[in-house]
Amino acid sequence: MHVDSLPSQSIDFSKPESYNEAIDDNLMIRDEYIQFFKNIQNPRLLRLREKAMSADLTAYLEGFTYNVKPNEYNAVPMDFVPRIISRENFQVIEDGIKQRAKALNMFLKDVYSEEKTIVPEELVIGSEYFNPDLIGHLPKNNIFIQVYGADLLYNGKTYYVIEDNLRVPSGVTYPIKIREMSDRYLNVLKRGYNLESYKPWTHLYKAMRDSSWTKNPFMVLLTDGPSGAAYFEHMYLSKIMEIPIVETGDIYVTDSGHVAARIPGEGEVQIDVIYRRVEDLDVFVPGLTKAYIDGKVALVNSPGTGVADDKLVYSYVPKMIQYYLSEEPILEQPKSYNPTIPEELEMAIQNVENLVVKERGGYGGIGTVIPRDHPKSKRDALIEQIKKEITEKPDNYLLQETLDFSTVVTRESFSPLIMRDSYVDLRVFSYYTGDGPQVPPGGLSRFARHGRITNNSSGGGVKDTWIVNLH
Amino acid sequence: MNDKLNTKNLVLPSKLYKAYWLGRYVERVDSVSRALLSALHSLKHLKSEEPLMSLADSLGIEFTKHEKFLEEILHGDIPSSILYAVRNMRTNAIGLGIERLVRESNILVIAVEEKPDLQKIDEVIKHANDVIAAINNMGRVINEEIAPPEIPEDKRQKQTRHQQQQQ
Repeated sequence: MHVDSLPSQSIDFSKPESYNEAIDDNLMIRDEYIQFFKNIQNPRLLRLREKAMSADLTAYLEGFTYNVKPNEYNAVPMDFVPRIISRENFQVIEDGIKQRAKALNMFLKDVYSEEKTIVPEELVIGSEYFNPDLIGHLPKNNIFIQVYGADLLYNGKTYYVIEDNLRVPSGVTYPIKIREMSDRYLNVLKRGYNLESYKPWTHLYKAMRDSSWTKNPFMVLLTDGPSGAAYFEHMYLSKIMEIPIVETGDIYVTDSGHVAARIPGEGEVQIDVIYRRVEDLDVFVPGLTKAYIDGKVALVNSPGTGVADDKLVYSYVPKMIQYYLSEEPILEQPKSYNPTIPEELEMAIQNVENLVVKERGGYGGIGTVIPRDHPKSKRDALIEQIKKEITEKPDNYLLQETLDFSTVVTRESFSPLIMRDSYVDLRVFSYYTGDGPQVPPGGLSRFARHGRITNNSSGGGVKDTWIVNLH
Repeated sequence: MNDKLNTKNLVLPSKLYKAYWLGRYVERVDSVSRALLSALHSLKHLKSEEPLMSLADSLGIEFTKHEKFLEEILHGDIPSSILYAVRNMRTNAIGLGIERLVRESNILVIAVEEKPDLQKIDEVIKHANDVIAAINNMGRVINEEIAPPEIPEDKRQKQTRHQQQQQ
């Protein structure tokens, strides 16, 4: 199927140098998307605009928003054009994420059992997320990372993991909510597809239960409150998993060292598992880390996991996979430069212009600089500043090669229907249960409205991610 | 003990606190909007700015020109504006996590965020009426979602036990 068979001028290409996941270099629609484009042949008849607008408005009214300032919420921009990934490709992702989850978890077990790891000790001890108080106190079944979110980029041949999120990964509910909206309003687009269903909360719920030291655990979700950036997610998860959502003032550590909530009409209720969506545990609930250490409560994820998503430790993940699992990594990583190694610092300095600079403790785009995306007038000064910084504080940064990654088609306007190519990334989640890591078929596809930055705050939006079997 | 808990309907202290503040902000939006509407009618029919000045005084807003005051009371970044109150109300509604309250509070915020032409008093009156209609709806939903269920008359015993014993 050629793009010429679509209504005229409906695709506007501005990034021909990048791999487009929907349309190939000869302007032929790729297999995954053929049925989708057939389904939208007559957008006016389908009332596509009205349906997409209804989905947007409903999602906003139901609170699918992110915080811009306290008390101000913006709608999460959704695009009706899905990101379609073949089962064949997703199988690679699934296997690769499971492999990483296992290796990262085994690394954490070694760190907190005082075993020698393949990561230099000074990097482990020097990580701001390493907590020596946790040494010798392992979680149930030695599972530290019940929820793990990996950020991936695709270049048409290979999926690259650019970041591991192991502390409090967010975005778990976004793909669920988008699917809910598309099921409700845009089901017509799925005609002819056999989509794999996406119900990750069942795995999360099981991962929480499996983390408990008690048989019938009372489980809660700990939130930083409605003024926090991800409150929608907390509220939504609490609803679909049917577990109470608690705030800092609701729970406390008792004299016996247990964690409890005082609930009007119920009295003091002991809490056995906390899915904590806050980083600073003891700021929110004084004594919580001690209760975890004493085995009085299970925390999902365990404290101290941040040492494994430290940017400098990330550069050792391929070696961890070889060391712990005796396997070759299924997913690739961009070539990284660790400035604490003199030869790599030298190479990084020579090549800064073409690298991505990441602060060691940063996450979700915070502390990330891409010099080549800066205007030429300011680039030289920026590069000089980066060279100085990485030389003076080599253990504060990681540098990575800049990847050319894929684009997808994204709706630009409805009347007439015009779609544009936009850069896209993918966050895939693993839920570590007693049966091992589970990777549900789907994930969060975020597209950039301008440039390559996919964050909501930079104008980026989200898409439904379809895993389809083409055979 | 925990096995017996109905985790769906637990009322946590943080929820009670939010319900309290939700109610307070609803009352504030309602009272300020009605007072504003009344003052706007005086301005329109009696050509008197005095009720607006009095309202400004009671809210601690400096009154220079009525257009400036209307801008402040409707959308100003100050604690006494209607927008400030509805946004706080929405945060508490979201915090309660009751779907219909989240939806109605977002509708109310959208109603308040509309920007009428402040030079045209009729437009501002219409805007204030829209806000009052939305807050009425919010009140109705709060009642339906939070108030204890009413006992139908036919299920209610006609006499207290004390009255029964006296017969």
